[in-house]
Amino acid sequence: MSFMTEKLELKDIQAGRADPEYVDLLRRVLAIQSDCEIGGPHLYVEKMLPEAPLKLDRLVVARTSTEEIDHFRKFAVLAGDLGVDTTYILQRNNPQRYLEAFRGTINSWEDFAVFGFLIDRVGKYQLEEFMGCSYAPLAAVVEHPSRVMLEEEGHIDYGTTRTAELAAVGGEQKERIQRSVDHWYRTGLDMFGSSSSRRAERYRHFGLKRRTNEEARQQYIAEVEPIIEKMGLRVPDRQEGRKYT
Amino acid sequence: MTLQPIPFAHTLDDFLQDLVRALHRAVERGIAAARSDEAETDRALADCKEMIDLVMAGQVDEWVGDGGPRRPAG
Ligand SMILES: [Fe+2]
Ligand SMILES: [Fe+2]
Repeated sequence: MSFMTEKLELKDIQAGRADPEYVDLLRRVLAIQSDCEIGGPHLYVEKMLPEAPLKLDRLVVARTSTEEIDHFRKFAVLAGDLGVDTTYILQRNNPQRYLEAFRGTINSWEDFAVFGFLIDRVGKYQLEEFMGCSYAPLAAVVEHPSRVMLEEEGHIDYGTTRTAELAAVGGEQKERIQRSVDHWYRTGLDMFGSSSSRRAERYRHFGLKRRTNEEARQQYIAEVEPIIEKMGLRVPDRQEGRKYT
Repeated sequence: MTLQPIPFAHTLDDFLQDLVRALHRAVERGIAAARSDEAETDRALADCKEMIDLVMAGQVDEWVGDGGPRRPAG
């Protein structure tokens, strides 16, 4: 397999210097990333902005939503330059979201905490794929110094800290947080996609992604499971309830 | 392959960027007041909610004015 190492700018694509398949994949990945960014606040803002335990927590929900809106903006404008009208992404309902993880609603503080701990962490993996990628304007969003990456780390840290605190309470509270971890860990593992995805291979071929789905998933597992154990929680069965392996 | 950029993409980007800045200011205001002035924190949270609700509603045509997304015909 040959990998594209050349870096393209918008003007190269506008001048017709890119493979049509490349442009298709690029437009697709930008639309999906935009969908995932705005999909977060659509999941939790309605319930958690008014109902998070403390006012400071509500402000964190507001800040996290703000940052996701900003992330959406940064990917959506790149998509717009390539002729993708992202209006539908701003308007679609949760069940229509591209990834399963964004199709429901988050109604509990436990789920909000674990979403940051586990799902924003998958988000970080997705963003890392674009570091050094063949479309320079996309690489620029995530390469150092990247506000998007720093903000994503902030979401993960906040979610991880809250999850650990809730687990440390013990008893019924610990059971509730365990159930959230069980649910979101499975969802998170599926977010990496199928190990035999042909499209994932094409992304790599064109230098739009770095790792295979399975490589990224295994790295995530190696990162997350020791943290779950350290929290005194049970590591969920990796196979149970999975859609993609 | 030739591409037609979306004509309102940058107007939308500007609109969202202004809104994000205003949201960050409201969050900071709320955090600064959290220990001393509960009413001010409540006002900041209400401002945040209003702005976030606006984005969640996704009425792009209202944000970008003329040249916005085409409404479905009929
Ligand atoms: Fe994000
Ligand atoms: Fe995030």
